[in-house]
Amino acid sequence: MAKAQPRILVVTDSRDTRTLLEFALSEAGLQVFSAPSKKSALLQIDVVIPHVIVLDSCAPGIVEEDTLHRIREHSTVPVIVLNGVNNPTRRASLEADVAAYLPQPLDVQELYARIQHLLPQ
Amino acid sequence: MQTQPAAILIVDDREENRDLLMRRLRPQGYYLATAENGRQALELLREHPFDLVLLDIMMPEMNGYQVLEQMKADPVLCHLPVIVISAVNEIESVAQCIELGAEDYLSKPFNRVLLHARIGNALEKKRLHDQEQAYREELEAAHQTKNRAILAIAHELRNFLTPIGGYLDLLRSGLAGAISEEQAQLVQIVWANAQRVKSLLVDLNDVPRIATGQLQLQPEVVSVADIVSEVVDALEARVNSKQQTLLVNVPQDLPAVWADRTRLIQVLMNLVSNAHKYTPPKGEIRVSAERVEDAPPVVRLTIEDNGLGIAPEDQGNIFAEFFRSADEQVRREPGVGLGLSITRRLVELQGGRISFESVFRQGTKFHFTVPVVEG
Repeated sequence: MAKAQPRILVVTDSRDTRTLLEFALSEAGLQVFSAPSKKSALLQIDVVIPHVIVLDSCAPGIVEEDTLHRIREHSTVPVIVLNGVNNPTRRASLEADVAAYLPQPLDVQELYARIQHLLPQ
Repeated sequence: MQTQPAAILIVDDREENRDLLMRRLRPQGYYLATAENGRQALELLREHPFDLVLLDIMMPEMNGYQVLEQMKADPVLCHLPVIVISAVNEIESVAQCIELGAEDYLSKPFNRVLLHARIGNALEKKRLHDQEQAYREELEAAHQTKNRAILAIAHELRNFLTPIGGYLDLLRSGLAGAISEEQAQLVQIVWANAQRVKSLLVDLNDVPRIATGQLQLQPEVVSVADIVSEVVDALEARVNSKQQTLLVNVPQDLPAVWADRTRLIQVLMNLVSNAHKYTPPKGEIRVSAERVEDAPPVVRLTIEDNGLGIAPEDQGNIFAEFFRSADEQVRREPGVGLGLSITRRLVELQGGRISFESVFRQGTKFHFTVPVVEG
């Protein structure tokens, strides 16, 4: 039986970054859904049931802690945070909820490798 | 500048003394207030901004010494000048007041010229002090605005680089469809420039953090051999492209160091990449490490090249922020002059030291130290 394609939800307000990740990650064999806002992300989580969420923390209306908290109310899906907080103390308090932090500009190869690592075997 | 009249507080337990000073000073247009004793004086001083205090020493309830002591212990009042009023035979008490921090003294009966001269001097000094304070605050605010602006801009630009770099990667890898060899070369040029912007933004991000001491290091036990091989691996392709030789000599038994791993990599990366940039093709770069029995013991890393060298007139400036050499051969390499200033700060923040020796057109040797893990 063919294995179902892993589903990734990309949350960022940058349309160009969404399009880039949609394109690059689908080329790599992932099924990509994208959300331009926290609201859209929360709506999609229950429908899409993603295996991994990629969250751009600095987009307006996407406050990292808040969005993470809301995501956690819905599911235990691993979250990769783009940009992320620079303050190590605040960062440590979020550690439990974040699978990885990646800086911008994003290295798409690295993102792909991290996603692969987080997907259920 | 403000033209508000100066505010003077006259503190004396005897009414005739207060009245006399009021009469003498009123024609000068000062704002005048009086207090009958030390306690009342301190209350007034804490409620209103004064520019000068004329203080009698011998007063019931709270004397002049006590007022002075309390003023000097108060972070706001400690800069307020105090002129002690004394009788001619009270020179010992005056000396004691000066030691307690009084600005000057006036003896009774008042000499008109001395009274005005000393009050004028004290007020002028206070005005200059306030002005300096205001400039200092303005400067500090401007620094903070600048730092916030740098961080905000760097942040925005980094975000823009994600799609720029990402789409270029798609073009380069052929995932977006085949492109001709010529087009590939053009894409490569754009890509290389995007990389430069990226590394500049990484540096820019550090400038305000280092300046304000907000850079938080996360030191841990680090193996120097690991760091060296990570840096060498990352730069190998670039070194090979100039047909340079990169020689590494890190002894097996080198002790581990106590450092922020990422920042240590950044330091070494900067120095090796400078060696690569400023050494002509086919040149040689050597990276070595050794334990030095300093107090405390350190590991000293040395990055040596046989490249352009640093001109004698530049040698005192290379660690300055935004310094760029006028040397034409150096100028061929892009850069804004942040790398070495950041490198030095990162070495020092981790308890190490950085130095160099260079012979112009023969080569450069950089050394930096990292503390060894104790025990």
